[in-house]
Amino acid sequence: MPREIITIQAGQCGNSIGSQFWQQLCQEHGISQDGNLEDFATEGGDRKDVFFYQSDDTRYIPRAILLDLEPRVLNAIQTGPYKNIYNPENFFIHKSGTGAGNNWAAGYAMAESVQEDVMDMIDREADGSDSLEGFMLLHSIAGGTGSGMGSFLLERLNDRFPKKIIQTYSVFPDTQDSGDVVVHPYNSLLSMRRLTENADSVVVLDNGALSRIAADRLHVQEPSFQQTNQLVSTVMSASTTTLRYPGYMHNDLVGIVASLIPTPRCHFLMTSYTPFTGDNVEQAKTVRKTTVLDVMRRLLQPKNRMVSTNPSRTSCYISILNIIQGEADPTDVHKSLLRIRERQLATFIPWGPASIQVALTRKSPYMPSSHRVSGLMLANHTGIATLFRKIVTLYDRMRKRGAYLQEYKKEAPFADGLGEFDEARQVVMDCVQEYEDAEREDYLTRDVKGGAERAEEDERVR
Amino acid sequence: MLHEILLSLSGHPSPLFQDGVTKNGEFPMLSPSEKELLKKIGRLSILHQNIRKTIALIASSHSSPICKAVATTIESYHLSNFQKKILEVEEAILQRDSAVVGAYNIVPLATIVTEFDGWHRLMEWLWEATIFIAPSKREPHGCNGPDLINRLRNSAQTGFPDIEDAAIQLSKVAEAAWLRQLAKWVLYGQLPESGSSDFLIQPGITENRSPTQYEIIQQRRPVFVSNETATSILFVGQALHQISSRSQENSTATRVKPRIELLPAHQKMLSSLRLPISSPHLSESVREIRLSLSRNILQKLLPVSEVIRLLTLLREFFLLGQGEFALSIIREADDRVAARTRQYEQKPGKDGLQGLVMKDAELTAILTKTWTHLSSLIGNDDDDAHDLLEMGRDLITLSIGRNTNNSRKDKSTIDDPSSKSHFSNFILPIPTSLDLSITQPFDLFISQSEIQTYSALNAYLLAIRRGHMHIADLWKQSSIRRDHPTPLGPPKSCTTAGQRILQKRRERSHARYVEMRKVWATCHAVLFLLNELGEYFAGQVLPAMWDDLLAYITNEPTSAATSHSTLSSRPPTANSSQPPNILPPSTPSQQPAHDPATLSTAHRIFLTALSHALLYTDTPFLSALTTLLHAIDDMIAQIMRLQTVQRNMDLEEDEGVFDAMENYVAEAAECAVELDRARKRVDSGARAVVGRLKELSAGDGLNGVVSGIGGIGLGNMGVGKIDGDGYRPVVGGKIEWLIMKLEFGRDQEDGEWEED
Repeated sequence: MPREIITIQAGQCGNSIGSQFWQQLCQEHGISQDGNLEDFATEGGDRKDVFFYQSDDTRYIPRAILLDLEPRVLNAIQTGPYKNIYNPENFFIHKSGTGAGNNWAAGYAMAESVQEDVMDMIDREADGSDSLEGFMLLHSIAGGTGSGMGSFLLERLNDRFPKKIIQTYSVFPDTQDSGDVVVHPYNSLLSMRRLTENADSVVVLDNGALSRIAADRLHVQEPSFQQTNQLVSTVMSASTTTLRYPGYMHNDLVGIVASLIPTPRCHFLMTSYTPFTGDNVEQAKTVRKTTVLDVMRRLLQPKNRMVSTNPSRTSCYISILNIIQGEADPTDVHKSLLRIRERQLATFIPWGPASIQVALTRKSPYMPSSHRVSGLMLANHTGIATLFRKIVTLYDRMRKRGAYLQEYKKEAPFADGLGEFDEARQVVMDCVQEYEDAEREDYLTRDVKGGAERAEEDERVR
Repeated sequence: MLHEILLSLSGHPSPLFQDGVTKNGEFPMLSPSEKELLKKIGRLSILHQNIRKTIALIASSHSSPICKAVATTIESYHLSNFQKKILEVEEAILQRDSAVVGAYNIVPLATIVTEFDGWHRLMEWLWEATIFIAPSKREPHGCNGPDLINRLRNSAQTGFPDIEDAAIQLSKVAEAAWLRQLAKWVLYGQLPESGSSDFLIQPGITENRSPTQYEIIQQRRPVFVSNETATSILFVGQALHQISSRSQENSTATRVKPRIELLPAHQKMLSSLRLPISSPHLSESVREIRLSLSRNILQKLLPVSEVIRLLTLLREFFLLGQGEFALSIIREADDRVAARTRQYEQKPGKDGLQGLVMKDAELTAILTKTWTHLSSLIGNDDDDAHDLLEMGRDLITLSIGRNTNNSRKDKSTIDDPSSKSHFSNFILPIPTSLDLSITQPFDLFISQSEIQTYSALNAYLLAIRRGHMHIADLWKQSSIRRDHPTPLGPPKSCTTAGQRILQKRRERSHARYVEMRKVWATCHAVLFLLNELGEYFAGQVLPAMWDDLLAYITNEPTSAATSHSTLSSRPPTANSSQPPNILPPSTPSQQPAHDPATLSTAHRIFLTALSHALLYTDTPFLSALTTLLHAIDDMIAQIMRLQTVQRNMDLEEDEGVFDAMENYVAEAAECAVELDRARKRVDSGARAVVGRLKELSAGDGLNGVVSGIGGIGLGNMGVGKIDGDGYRPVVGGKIEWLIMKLEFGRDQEDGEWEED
């Protein structure tokens, strides 16, 4: 039972992250640019079949589906160094090639119009796996394709594949600086509804935090998307190490999801990674020292989180999974945990065990690394709700002004009105509320009011 | 008259003495004092006759060659000495020796009696000895050799010089006979043909899994054979036996050759023994033979690398070193059960519930599928992993549990199976056990009872893993984890009607989410508990102890202290192609490798220590865990039921699919109550497990037990002197660490966990 995972990459951001991710995976598993195993890759002990399948000529082919509504990024992939590893049938570029114009509604509508083709691809890929464990969707939620098409896909996947885990790596917009997409609050909010309702687990990465980390750690003033995407692919490859180099625990996706996400709605995860090294940035390699304690402590530092949140005093961790690669042994881990406990570096929910889990995994033997230890933290933290609240606030502000709504009304999904926006807002606010409830001692016993009553309460607050 | 006396003394029945007493009436001329004198002589005469009769009987019918030898020695030496004495006396009389014959040729009766004075005690003793040997009502076959040897040795210490001399002399004879038996065993690996029942080693009465199993019969162990020596003797003979049976099979003369070369040397060692045998000398000789044997032959027969291969197999599959093996076997078993249930639901009644019972063939199928799956994971070039898998395919079987209360004689198996056998029926609804068939060379190293221990540990670890997996599977139940089916999207969601539906559904699912919070919290908590428990066993305890054992076997100079902190930089990978340190030792020169029996003992100690470290010996913990695992199963079933009911309710509400026969609302309410009960049971079960862990870490037993193992084991199992360095297991993992993680957020102010 290989427990395969199919990766779906949608939109410009999703595809560039994806291509970095596949490149990283190939390097880690010793797969050459044409999909063959490198001569030096004899170590074994890794599980390539989770993310790759072997074609008849024994080349490794990513279980990846690459979707976009405009050809630019996909063309770049098709002409790039790793062009040969992908299954050419798994590329989908919308015929019109116009893109979604940063409009969620356009992305959604276009996805709907081509859903047969796309779902065929997904079905084919799913049929090709023995025991599919789930899907990973890579996208951003600010633009049009990743958010609109991604949303549509999430809805369909949810219906079509019950009992399969749906995990997304969702790049959230920088809430401080809108960048080139003015309408990102609309797009984000609409996508957020699907992320909340139709996904099992969402790894939240936000461009604001990514740029900040890239700037801080890599000493780059204005990091390019290329560089922030590099961060994302590092996180992705690290968070999948336990699947690819399985140990006793956490060797399936559901194991990871289950250990991090107790109640269904609170399924948004944040990540930290340390130490980062940019390929081209020498200074970044001068990180002081990497002991397990050091790594684990740095993972808990807010500045290393790849999400910009504004945690309140009551914010706390629901659970933590640290994936430590490199030279670490249980003694080090134990000592580090003791230290973290002593200094109270992390506070946990009051209604369950403080689940801080540490998985020690192998490092790829083929990737030179200047660090003894590196670590990824996947954390379920109630503070993430502040990011959602921020998005809702931005949305409210725009919505009040009625700005840019015309663009949306033009598209088919909103031909009948903008009720979808209200629904999405409600769902997101419910989710925010769920996180806030989770900070309370009486989370489990509390007799919570239904959505409607709370909506009224919300109104009053506002 | 004198003639009559002498004749009767030399063993001829005489009317003078019948039944040991002189008949008063027949010799009226005898004075009372003379009668008294005659009485003594009469006793001697009767003894002599009886001894001769009994010896004749013994010589013809006794089964023990040792006894026969002693008996004939009594006859040929002591009795003939006695006869010689009679002749001497007679001669003295005939020659009128003045010492005997007085004036007027009168031979005083008293003088003759005095002549035989020294013989009374000896003859009495000899008589007792012969009675001891001879078959009696109590022991119809007579005594056995070792008993006689022990008796003779005791008699030698009675303090009477004549008896001491006689006893020692007989001892020598008896021990020489015993030594011949020993020689046959120690030099050729064969039981003595005649009187094999006398020998301390007997074919074992195990089930006919391995017909060549021998065992030590403690009752047949002479005093001068210490326990350790007996073990060594057993080992040597058994090994030789195997070699010969092997060479018969293989018909390759190469293997027999070294044995023949070794024979004279071994023979010399044995023949250098002085009679009567002294215990230390015997031990020394046996030890030397054993060493020479293991250096010269056994390490070829069962090289250390083979032992490591077997151990790796056990580690990877029985102790779940390969996480993938556990996963796969559990999944296959689940599939099988599901298929069975489906079949039953489609065609119920045919065989009744019998149809649900698993058959052996199905178990084999489960295992076969597991192997297929595992082999698909291994790269093509990975020969080691392929070999291991092949070996697993050949040796490992999954079968319907026969391990319940199998006559467990071996002390190394853990006692009290009552509470543990429960783990065997977690993976399938019937008791199932993973077994390993012990093939030829490996029986030098491992015994059936150890395999049983491995099976039990396997069931235990699998049960924990299974509990974990099944809980985690709840996260795959989309309809309770996601909004499944997907709520309306645009454009319908934009219409007023759509919005109304959406709001209704939102509220419904919200209410359910709130309702389920407790359940999910419990699931998550218990998942965390099982996860940490599994991680503790698989990531800390097992690697540390395993590496330590391996280091001992390969004679690597790792001290326990360093191994403890540097071992296991990571948990074992699931399909790790190279089991750690599998390479055979490259530099065996500085220290001789351990022979298989030493390794076997070390391994036994390791296994005992491991069982302790895995908490498999702590009955309160095990029963708490069993309760918890059962409660988990129950809770999962309730959740699934609730999910089904809710789905049906939704169908009714959303799609108008009605089933008039069902009242889903009532059922949902009932289900919720049941679920709440099940959840509370899981909660309290988890608390009980953690509670027991805390008690253990507070020093209630565990540490003491574990630290005691080394000593107890070594004492009992008698390795001690073989190589001078017995195996002392390290105790992998610290239970405090586990507790610290389980209670990470709690009791921070206590600060009871100290860094060390």
